[in-house]
Amino acid sequence: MSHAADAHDHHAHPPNLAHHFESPEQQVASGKLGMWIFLATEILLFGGLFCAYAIYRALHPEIFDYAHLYLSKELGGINTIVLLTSSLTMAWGVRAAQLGQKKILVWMLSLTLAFAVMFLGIKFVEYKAKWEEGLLPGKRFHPTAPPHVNGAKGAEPGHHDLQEKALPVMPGVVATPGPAAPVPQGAAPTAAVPAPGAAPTDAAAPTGPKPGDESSLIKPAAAGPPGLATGAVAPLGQVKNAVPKNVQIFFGIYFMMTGLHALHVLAGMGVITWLLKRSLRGDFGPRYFAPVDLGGLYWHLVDLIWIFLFPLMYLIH
Amino acid sequence: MHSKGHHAHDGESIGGVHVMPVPVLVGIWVVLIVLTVVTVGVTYFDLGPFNLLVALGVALVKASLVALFYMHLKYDHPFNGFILVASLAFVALFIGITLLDAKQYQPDMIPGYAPAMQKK
Repeated sequence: MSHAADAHDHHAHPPNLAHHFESPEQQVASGKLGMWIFLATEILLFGGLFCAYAIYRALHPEIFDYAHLYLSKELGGINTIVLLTSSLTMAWGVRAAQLGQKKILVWMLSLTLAFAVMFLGIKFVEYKAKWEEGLLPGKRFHPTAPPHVNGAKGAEPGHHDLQEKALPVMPGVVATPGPAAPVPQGAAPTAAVPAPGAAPTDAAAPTGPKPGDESSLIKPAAAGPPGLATGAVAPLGQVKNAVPKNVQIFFGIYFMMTGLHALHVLAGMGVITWLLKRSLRGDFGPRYFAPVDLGGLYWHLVDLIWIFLFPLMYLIH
Repeated sequence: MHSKGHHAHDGESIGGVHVMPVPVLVGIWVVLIVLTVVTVGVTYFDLGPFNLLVALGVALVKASLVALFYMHLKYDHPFNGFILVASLAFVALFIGITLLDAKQYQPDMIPGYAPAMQKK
């Protein structure tokens, strides 16, 4: 408060102090408060996706148990370490800005940017593999291979035999990974078949009820409301070992959550590039480092979100 | 400001603003990396429902370290930390209340559609 008189005096005005603040301290505190409120809205934005994740995982743990085997723990782990290290260099950069160590600041911001590029590069490798394996959300989900993990469910031929007997192939509705599965990949779902993202109605199942299936006692519901079962559903006992239905839901959630996160990485890279330009110009020092501080807060939030995404996506047991 | 003098033992202070010492920054990083290795390692053991709890617990510890030290909350005005905790509380409310009745909507309307739930 002792600076109040100075701050209003134009001649003794600190160069980076806006007129509506009494003192540099007040300006910095306000900036930080604003940044934290923005970060809170970011957390709420991701909260919606985490909620979708929680609901689907609670309702369909079998999808998550199966589908996460398509993700590489190694690449995910390396990316986690890359992002944590970029947080270290960012925090070190804030320190350098506070102490007026221009050279260290420039180095730390450059390193942070390099780690961000590395993160997105690894992410690109992962996305490209998903693309090539047909692991895209919704009706684009046509897996070309089972998960490449030893002992994975569905990886042994025996399971495919079982699956073919138990689960009639419904193009576009039920995803059946595995080269043995006779899915007509090119066959587009007809208008009668709902989008795979929706609850499967099984109305377009090519096979009729099998005698002996208890579920076949329920009449086919081709003309009925969606959701009623037809005879084309596997008996309960066999479902456990087969490839679960609606695996594309996992990849919808995976691409939405990691994709939104990757967009934030891109935005953070923009901020860091801007900070790098300004730090090369010598803008920052002990009297003025708030932009580095606030940009750093944003970057750490991106790290925080990944800290939760990594175990939830890659490390499902 | 708030941090002036209070934390002289674990950091320099320039003009009332706390500066993180390099050993603390690097030390936190080492802990974060170790915890990452631990959380990957735990997935090779079957702990039943505890796998998820351990994974989320480790993530929570890592996030707290980043927030307290890299994001300076330990040395900041407490209201900034309050905003973070409040946003997390609202996310928890959002997810918790949505999950409350998520399993109440005819889970076995389609036989075989939700096999994990029909076991119960």
